[in-house]
Amino acid sequence: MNSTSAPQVSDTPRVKTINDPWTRSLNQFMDELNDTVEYESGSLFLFENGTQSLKEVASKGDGIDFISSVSFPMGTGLSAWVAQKGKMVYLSDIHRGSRHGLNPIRSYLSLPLEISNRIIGVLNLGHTIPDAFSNSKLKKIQELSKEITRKIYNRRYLGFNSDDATDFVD
Amino acid sequence: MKSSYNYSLWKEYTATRNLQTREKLLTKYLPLVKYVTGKMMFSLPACVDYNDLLSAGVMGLIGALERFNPEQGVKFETFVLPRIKGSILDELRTLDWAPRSLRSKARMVERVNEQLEKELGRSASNQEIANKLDMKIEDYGGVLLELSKASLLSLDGSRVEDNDQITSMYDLLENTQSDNPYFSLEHIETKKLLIKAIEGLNEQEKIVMALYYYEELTLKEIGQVLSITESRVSQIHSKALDGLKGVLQSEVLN
Repeated sequence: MNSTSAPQVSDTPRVKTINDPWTRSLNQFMDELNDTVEYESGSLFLFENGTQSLKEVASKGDGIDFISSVSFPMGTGLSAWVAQKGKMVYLSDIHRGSRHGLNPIRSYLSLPLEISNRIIGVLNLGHTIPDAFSNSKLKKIQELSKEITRKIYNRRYLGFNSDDATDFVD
Repeated sequence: MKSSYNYSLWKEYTATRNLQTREKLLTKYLPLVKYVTGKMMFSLPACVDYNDLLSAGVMGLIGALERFNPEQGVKFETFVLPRIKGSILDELRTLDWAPRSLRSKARMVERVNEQLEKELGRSASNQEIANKLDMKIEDYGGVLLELSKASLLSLDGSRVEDNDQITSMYDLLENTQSDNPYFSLEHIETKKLLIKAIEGLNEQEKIVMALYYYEELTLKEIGQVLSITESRVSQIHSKALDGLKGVLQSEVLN
């Protein structure tokens, strides 16, 4: 992945409130995704050029990332490692945290958002039922992710600077 | 008039052993049982049930009615009181699982404690009590442990908190459904230490250790994340563990 090759027009605006149109659009995407493919917790991370690391820009439920305290070159958490490797991780039947009463996630998906050989973010989804994102659901998630990736890329790197929510949710 | 009525009652009962007459005598002397029971309750823990002792006292009264001979010139009240008390004490012994030798030890410790408090004008230390009892402090500790096991409390009883609030003993019961705060805290602390130590490992070791200990994934599940076999994950885990041991030992010592 080459983080300097693509033209950079604008960086991710710093998200402060949900009223920010950009944040609202991203959260709307998470809602849209949940309507299509049900999940219980989800987090959308985008790469920030300023800090050279991933930052969570939208979430649903409790949000989700594994080993969020562990550092990697592209930030903290397993999402940063997924971004670094550019490789999807799908765990369809895990028993995370069941021994110590953590949120018992049974399905976990970490999907790098890639466009033009560039990773611009990671989408994490979790569910308490096993095999929640298999086959057709996974395909649907990938389709929707490709769509949002293109739109984020257009906005952040090519300067199509619309804050309109409909820019993300067709 | 009253004493002649009593006398005639007793005369009738001794002669006939009539149940109705016994009932009359029983009703007449029942307040004595209540008096003795109430007096004894003062010195007993709250977990002892008043009605249990009252029943025992009534049994003592009935026994005394059978044995009393008015011709011997003793007042029935004088005759019955030690029997009611004895009957209640017997009942208390059956309720108390602790052997009498242990109760005797408890009384001895209590006596010495009170005596020392008077002499010193303050609470006596365990060492001082042990010295007075001519015991080693370790042996005295053993006695205290034995005594603590002999003290039973009722869940139905209440307790007074430091702020004078009265709560139920049920409040002290562990809720096995919820997390133990001590272990939760220990778990969080262990996680923090591990995360710090894990940061020093190489990337693959870092992921294996963090997923295994922090997220509690199995080696097989971690293998799926890293696209390697479970046995390879196990090897990485063992190697990383050796590295972590040193780091964690120095952290704990610090």
